[in-house]
Amino acid sequence: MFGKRAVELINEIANCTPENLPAYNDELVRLVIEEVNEHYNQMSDLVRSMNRSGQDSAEWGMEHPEEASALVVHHACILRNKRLLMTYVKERAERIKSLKWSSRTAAMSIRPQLSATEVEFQQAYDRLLTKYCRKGTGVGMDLTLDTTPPSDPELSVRVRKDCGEVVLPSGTFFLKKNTCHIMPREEAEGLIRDGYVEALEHDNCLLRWDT
Amino acid sequence: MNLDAAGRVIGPADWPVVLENIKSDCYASNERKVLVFVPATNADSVAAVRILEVLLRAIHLPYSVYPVTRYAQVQETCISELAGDLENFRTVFFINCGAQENLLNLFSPAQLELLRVVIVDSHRPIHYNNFWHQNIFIFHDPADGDVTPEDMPKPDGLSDCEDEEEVGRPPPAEGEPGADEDDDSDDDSFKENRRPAQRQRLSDEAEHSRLPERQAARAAIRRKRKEYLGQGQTFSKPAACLLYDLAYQLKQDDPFLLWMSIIGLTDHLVHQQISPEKYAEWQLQYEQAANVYAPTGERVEVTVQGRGDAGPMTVEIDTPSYGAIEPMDDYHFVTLRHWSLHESMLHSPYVATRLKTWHDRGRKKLEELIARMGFPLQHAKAQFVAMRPMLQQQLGPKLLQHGGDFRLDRDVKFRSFMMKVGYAVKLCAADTVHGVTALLEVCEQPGSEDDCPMHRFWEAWEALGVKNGEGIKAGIKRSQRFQKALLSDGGLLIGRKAVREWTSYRLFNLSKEDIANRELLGQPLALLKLGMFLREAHYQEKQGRKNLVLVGPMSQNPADRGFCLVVGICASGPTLGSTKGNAFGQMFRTAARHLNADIQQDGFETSIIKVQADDVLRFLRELGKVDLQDSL
Repeated sequence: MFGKRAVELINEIANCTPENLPAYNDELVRLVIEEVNEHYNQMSDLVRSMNRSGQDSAEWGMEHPEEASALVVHHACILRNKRLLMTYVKERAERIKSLKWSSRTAAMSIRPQLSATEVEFQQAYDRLLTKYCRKGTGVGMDLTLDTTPPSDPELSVRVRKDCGEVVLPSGTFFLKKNTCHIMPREEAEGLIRDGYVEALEHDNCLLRWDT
Repeated sequence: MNLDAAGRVIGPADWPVVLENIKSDCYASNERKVLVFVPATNADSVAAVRILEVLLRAIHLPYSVYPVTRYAQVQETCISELAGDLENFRTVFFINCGAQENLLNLFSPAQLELLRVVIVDSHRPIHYNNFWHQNIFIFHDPADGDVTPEDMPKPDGLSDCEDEEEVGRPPPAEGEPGADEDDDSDDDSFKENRRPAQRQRLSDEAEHSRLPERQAARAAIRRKRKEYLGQGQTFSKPAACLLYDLAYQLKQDDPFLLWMSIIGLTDHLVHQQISPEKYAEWQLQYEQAANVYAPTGERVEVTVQGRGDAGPMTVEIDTPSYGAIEPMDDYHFVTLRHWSLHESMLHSPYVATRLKTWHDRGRKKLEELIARMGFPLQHAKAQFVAMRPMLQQQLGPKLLQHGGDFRLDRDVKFRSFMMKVGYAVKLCAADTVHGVTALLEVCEQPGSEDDCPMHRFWEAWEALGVKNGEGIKAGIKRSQRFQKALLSDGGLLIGRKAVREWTSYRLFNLSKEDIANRELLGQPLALLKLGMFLREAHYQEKQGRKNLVLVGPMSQNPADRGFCLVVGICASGPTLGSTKGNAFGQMFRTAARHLNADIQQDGFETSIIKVQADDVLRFLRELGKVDLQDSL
């Protein structure tokens, strides 16, 4: 059956969980391309025989219906295989990108599964993203830390345990029990985990239904 | 400093400018943080902080909130937060504190040079040193009456009449405002700078000849100060309301902020810090504001799945609104919507003092009133909200009809507000105030780690969130416990005739009395309510109106074990047009100065002080002397 190999290729990636990537199936891709080439050769033969007959294509088609339909089927198969190959490459590229966002370590561990061009793509994407996150050239914060944008980059926290003077990148805080401070969310998260502070919820909206 | 400038008491028009200045200063400096000090003692302060936080967050200013109970804590925090920082101009907010206190005592002059102090406080009078200082900004609504430079005594260290002679002068003998003792220490640096210049100008002889003149001027100033501070403590617009006005000007106002300012206003009504007339005036303003946010009454069409095979169909419904603030009639019955009508009336000071419900006779009378109003007793003893809606609606008219026979006047009713959130939370302003106050004062587990006012402040803070119906309900339960204690112990004190009559006040001394609910009644606002209860009870027994001094039970709290609170309460709540405030602050100060005892006076209410239990009797004797001298 035509196009069966390419479907196998797609199934391979579809059966894999989103945070994983199967190894780049070089062999199968080559076979699919070979298949496409074979279709092309068959088509070329048919076109050549048509040209030899000296008739115009419509007449030739009327006289040789079998050959004409074969021509159409071969063409459709080429298009289908191309589409499936494209999907395969596109899906892999998307996963390489999304792994960069979801987990830094996973992005490194899939390196052996990638083809040479994919490695190149991954490196270029990394460079681009780092540049965008850097201060000066970009927004100045690591966007991959939290994929859902926080409602507010700053958090108000209430101190639960005395911990004296704490120096954080954003400034010095005197964390005395039962006081409230504003600090950047990423700096607060460590303190919240350790139980020194807790986030205060500003539920002060009477205007909308919360979803 | 320019003495001709009209002080730094600023009207509403200038408030946004101050905030704008803070913003630009903070953005320009390295240290961007704003400090906020707030007393952990009343509902108005909690509500005000919530408004201020919204405003500061809107302009992305980082801040730290410090709930405090004494000025010593403010000082302590300032030492750690500001001491090392001599380069950056910093801003400090005082919510509901600071106006009455001489801030030159709290900060050194060098510190004040680098500080912008913004005071949003309802306590009056404003201390004259704060009034004149260029870096101290005091929010004041002119609708509360003008604060003019002419009325204001000159600040320390700047008038010509104060000089080196005051240093080392023996403490003033009688009844002089305590603020005078600050004179010497405050602004020495100013004096130092001025003195050489004066000396060069005047020869010794000339100076000598001017001496009596200057003494006279000095005496005049002292007189003016005494007169100024002698008018006693009063309250102006609640801090939450001031901040709501600011939010309105910044176009940041929304229903939640309005609710917070209603809480502030109702807090002042419940604790008799505002005259009913003034309350009605502001309440009306808020009613108009609430109408702006009210649902428009428009109807919208929604598509719903029909029953069975009917398919989708459209229905017309009122525009759904998430939260709303609705004006309503409320009564001086505590936490009516969370209690039964019978219990709520029984325990509310308004009814209790009029019917003497601590007696069996009083209870019978109350039941008679309920019967006359046409409420079956069985229903009146069930949850009020579970009562038949028709009966609920009849409460107002029936009270009007029959209340008069039981000394319940028309003023048992007042206009108030109700907040609704979705279909889950429905709260009245007065109930919320009772709940929040109880959260601030009543501790669930005395002696535990969380038994501290600062911890309870955040409980109250959270309870004011719109979705935290549970928090406020817990507070209302605690306030009901308190009301029961108030009735039983208050009734007991009256029954025992524990009162002592002095020249100008009645005295209750609970430090030696056997009181069942020490913990509940030992807190400042609880004691104030007990005092008001006793005052009203005596008034209703036709014994005339008189000031009242109440010594609280000895505190069991480890932080201030062995101390008793002493509260001074005016003969009547504030009335329209009366300028006379609570003068006990000055009397307490004078008495304390004459006494060499451990007395803490650095709370935020001047009429509440802490005295060591062993010194109570000496203190009261001294207070009696001061009282006698004043009345002569």
